[in-house]
Amino acid sequence: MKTNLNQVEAAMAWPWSARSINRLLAKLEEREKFIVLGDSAGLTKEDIEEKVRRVKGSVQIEQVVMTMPFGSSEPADVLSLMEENASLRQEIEQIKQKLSELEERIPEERVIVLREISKKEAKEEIKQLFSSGRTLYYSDIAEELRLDLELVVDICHELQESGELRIDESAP
Amino acid sequence: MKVHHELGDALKAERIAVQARDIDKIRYGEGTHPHRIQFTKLRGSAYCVIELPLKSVRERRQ
Repeated sequence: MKTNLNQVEAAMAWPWSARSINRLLAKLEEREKFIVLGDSAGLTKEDIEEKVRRVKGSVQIEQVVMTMPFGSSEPADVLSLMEENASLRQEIEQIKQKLSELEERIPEERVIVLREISKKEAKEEIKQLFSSGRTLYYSDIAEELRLDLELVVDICHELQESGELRIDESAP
Repeated sequence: MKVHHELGDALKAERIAVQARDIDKIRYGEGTHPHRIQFTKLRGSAYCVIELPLKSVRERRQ
C-alpha cells in the first residue's frame, strides 16, 4: 500500500483554501458590481457574472480532484498511514541491505576453456611462467595457462624431482 | 605422485585445489572452530590435490 504524504497535506489544507477563495470571489463580485455601476471597466454586468461563474466552476472541480483520494479521512487514519509508510520504508532499506550482502557472497563465475596441448609444450609453458620469479600454486598455473589440473600437477612434480622447482617456504 | 581411488581415501591440508565436471552449491555449517565451515560435493571426474606455493630454483640462483 502506497501513501503520498503530499496528497494528505493538500487534502487537509484544502477545505480552508476553498472557503477563502469563495470569500474572495464574493468580495470581487461586490467590487466588480460597483465598478459596473460606475461604468469604468468597460465590461457589462453579464460579462462579469459569466466570469465569476467560470472561476467558481473551476474551483469546484479542483476541490473534487484534490479531496477524492482521502474522502472522509480522519486525522487518526492519516497518522496510521504515515506510520505504515515509515515502517515500509524501513523494511525496504533492510531488504536492500540483505540483498547487497547476498550479492557479495555469490562467487564470481568465469568460464575457462581448457587447451589440449602436448605434455612437452605444457612443460615449456610452465617453465616460462616460473622464469619470471613468481610464486605459484597448481591452481594458479592451471587457470593462467588454461591447462588440466592433473596435467599441471604431473609436470610440476617432474620439475620438482629434477630440481627446477621448489616449495616457496617464504610465501604466506 | 600417488593418486588414491578407494572409498574413504582423504586429503587434509590448508589448501586443496579441485576440479570436476560438476560442483554442488556450497552449504554453510557451524564448525568446531569459531569460523564457519562450508560443504560441497564434486561430481564426475573429480580430482583434488594438496597444493603449496612453488618457485623456480633457477630464478633464486640469479
